[in-house]
Amino acid sequence: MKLIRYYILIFLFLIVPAVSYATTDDLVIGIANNKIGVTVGFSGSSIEVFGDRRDKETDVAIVMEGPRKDITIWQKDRVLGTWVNRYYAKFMAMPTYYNYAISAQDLSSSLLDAMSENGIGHEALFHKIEVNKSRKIKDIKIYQNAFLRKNQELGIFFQEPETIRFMNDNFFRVRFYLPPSAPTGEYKIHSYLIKDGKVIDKMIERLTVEQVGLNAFIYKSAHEYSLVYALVCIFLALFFGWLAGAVRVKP
Amino acid sequence: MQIYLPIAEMSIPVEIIFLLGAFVGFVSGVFGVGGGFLTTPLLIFMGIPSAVAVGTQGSQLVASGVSGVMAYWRRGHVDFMIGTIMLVGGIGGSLVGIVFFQFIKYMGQMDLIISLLYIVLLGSIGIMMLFESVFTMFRKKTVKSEFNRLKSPSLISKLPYKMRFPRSKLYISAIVPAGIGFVSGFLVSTMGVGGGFLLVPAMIYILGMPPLLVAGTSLFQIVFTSIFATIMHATVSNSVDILLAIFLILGGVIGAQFGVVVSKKVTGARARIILALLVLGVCTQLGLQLFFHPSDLFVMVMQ
Repeated sequence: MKLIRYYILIFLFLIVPAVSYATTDDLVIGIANNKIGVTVGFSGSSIEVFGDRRDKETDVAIVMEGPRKDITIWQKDRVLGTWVNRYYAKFMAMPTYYNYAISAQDLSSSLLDAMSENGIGHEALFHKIEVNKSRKIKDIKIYQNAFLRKNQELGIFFQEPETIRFMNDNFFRVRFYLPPSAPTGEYKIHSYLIKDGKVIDKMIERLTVEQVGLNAFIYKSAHEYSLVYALVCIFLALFFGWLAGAVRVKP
Repeated sequence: MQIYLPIAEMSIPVEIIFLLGAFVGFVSGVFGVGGGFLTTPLLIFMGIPSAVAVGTQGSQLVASGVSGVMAYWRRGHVDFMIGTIMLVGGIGGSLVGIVFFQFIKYMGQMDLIISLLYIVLLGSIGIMMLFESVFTMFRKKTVKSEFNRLKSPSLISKLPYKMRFPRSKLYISAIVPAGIGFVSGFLVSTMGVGGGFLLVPAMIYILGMPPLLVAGTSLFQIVFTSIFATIMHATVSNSVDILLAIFLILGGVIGAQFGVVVSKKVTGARARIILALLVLGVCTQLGLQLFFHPSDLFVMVMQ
């Protein structure tokens, strides 16, 4: 009898956590590859995110963001007849890449609340970011718009959210495009399951975008063995320069 | 074909870099100038970060100068003593330049300062060159005969630390060549230009060096100062992109071959007039950006 009691105890220890884990896991996402290699010929890449939701009466939001940096927007103004960078708004710890997708076709107010609370979408993102600015700036909006326009031109921010495609009621996929100008570093893919204006489950996947092959070698040498790297650059310059002189047609 | 530059961390069509290098090589072949004043603004215009454009440009100066130095060296047209003193000044100048470069980067006024430096430098050089060459074309005088009549100003002869430079037959203060070298070093590390068009007249008019030795000696100092500036940029700010440098240099090597052929047809004052107009063209282009209402009032800087 005593032995059976032990067995039950062990069984409970093993099963209970697993079951509870499974029941709260209403949303699961995955990506095929956690590493994107930037080679010499890198011309952009796309990230395919797959996911599954338990309940089809919920909404899914996926946000992909790049490594965070402080980004300054300068506004030019006329000083003594020349146009110089005069006023600034510095967005602290701003993602250097931002793209998102949402499953709902039309956004209800409760969904919008959930989005702004969790920083989903451009407007919500700006709400979460701390800004250092020149004292004279009253309306930060024009700086936010300039920021968006600049980054959309670079292809690292997107005008419209991506669409989430459902293969059946629950299984979905979404594709994010990574342009050649995308910054290297660690990307995060946040996923949110929203029901009645509340996030009921979320998950983070990580993705590394890094230089590989020859590029990685050059980058690493330039940063870790910068003196040797400099000498190699100079040697190459001297060699090509000498070669050009040697093969030049004499007058 | 797109190529991803590992240090600039951006993707760019390789043909464009190559063509830029070839164009600058062609210009330097025709006129016998380094062409840095064209490369750096064009690279920045293409979207390469200013720091990488200036840092990488140094290695191109090395490549475009080295065969010239060797040729002058073989003919004995390099005054190594003055060259070395200038180089000492040049190293000082490029150290100051690198500190200055980091400072303006920190202030967020990089575009403005680099543009202003270029406008002042190119504007004054271009106008001087234009006047001088138009003048000689009408007077039918050779430039050399004018140089020889000039004497170094009296203020300079009063400076201390006088040294004898037997190769150039000069007895002048070491501060003067070091000062000229200092200016050149500053230009190399802040603007990516060798400053040959500034050094050559300075060495002739201020130092009073024999014109025969001027070209070789200035090139000698520019090559070594550029080597130093490249090492500094690579170690202090990691801003030398070797792939960018290779394609620029390869383009330059090929462009220069065509340039040398054309240079035989365009000589003397006429060549200097064309070069002056080219210099003034770049200057005007930069000036327009600074003085006219920009099409985009906003600039983005990542840190």
